[in-house]
Amino acid sequence: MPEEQEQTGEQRRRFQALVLPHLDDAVNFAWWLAGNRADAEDIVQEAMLRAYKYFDRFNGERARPWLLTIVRNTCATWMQRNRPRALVLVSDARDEAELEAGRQDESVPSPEVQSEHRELGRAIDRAVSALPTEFREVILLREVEELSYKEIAHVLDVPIGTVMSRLARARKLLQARLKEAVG
Amino acid sequence: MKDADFSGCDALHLYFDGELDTVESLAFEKHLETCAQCRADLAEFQQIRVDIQAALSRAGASQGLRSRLDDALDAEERPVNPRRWDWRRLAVAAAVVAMVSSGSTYFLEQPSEEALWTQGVVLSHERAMLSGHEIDVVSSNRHTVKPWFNGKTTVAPLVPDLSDAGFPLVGGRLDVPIDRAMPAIIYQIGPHVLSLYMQPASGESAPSLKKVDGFSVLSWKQFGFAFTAVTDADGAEAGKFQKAFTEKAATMP
Repeated sequence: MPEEQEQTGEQRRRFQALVLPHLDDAVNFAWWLAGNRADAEDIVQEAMLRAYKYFDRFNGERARPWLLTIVRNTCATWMQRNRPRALVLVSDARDEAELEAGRQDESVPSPEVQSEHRELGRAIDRAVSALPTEFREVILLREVEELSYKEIAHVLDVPIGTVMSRLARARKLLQARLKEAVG
Repeated sequence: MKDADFSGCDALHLYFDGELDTVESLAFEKHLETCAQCRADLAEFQQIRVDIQAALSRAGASQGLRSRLDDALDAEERPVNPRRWDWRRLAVAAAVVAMVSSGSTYFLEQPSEEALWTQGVVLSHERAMLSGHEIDVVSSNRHTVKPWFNGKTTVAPLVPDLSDAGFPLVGGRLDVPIDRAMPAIIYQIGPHVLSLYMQPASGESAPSLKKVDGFSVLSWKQFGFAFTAVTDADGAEAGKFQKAFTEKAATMP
């Protein structure tokens, strides 16, 4: 028994060193998928416990893509369980008030920069929010998480060619929407 | 990305995302010279990337989530009845979180990158020792150890022969201290074992010694690498090893 305890202690420490540093990324990803903070944290808590349970299957890959894969899968089952289909569509867009609250917290150097930054931030937030989920997730994994095509393909469980075509489509959509916002 | 042949405009996203090799990139850059549409798109996609990275809203984990997780992991870990959760404590924690998070401010507390790194290498050294899997390639011949890493990592390790100085080469292993695979070269140091981690880095820095969980951790930068040596030998021994390694490596081609 002492040996077993030592092993779980070791597992916990490894988990804390390898996986826990990516908790913020997990929450951010879930937030952009689920649309609000409370759900995102519920999803991530469930995902982290799953990750911990399956930690013995983790071998040598990068921990962040591995965790994001679990977050995404957990998110999918969570949505099926907790949100009727019709509601998904409505709440799919991020909560404007919540985005605004998040924005207030940011510390930006000067008021002018800040207001310009906010303006831009709003436009970007809206454009990304408006993307259909399959395009939004690929943009987040590439531009925010900076994963490679191979890693994204693994997270989404699709061929690499699909990653490329979705990214191309997503960028076209963002391009069009942002032009609209400026013009 | 190689499963199809993309050229001309089709390669735009692959190029933009760094998925082309050097030859393919050069070919695309040639194409760029003649294709105004690709040049315009590329500039706009670059602007979108910069804007997203600078201004897209982000959420982070709240303190509440962090402590709920801690509690849940503690419960998972309890060997007597590993599946049992302490629901009441969770419920209390959740109620506290609900109150606190309605204030909408949250704090991020993360240990420094350096501390994480030190913790990471000590853990992987320790784990390798405990599991008895400290060596993936067993050889005292540096000409066997170095090529073993080909194709396993992009880092080509420095593997000097230090047996003359009293530090025989034991072998090497591929390790993932934090989130990236890198070579660890293993030397014997008296009755102890030393793992030397290396990853590409610029600049030079003098060796600095830390004691972590009874291990000596010696870090320095030289020869285009950041080195971290982890051993259960004492700091003085680790220092001697570092000197011998540096002297020998300096004479290598």
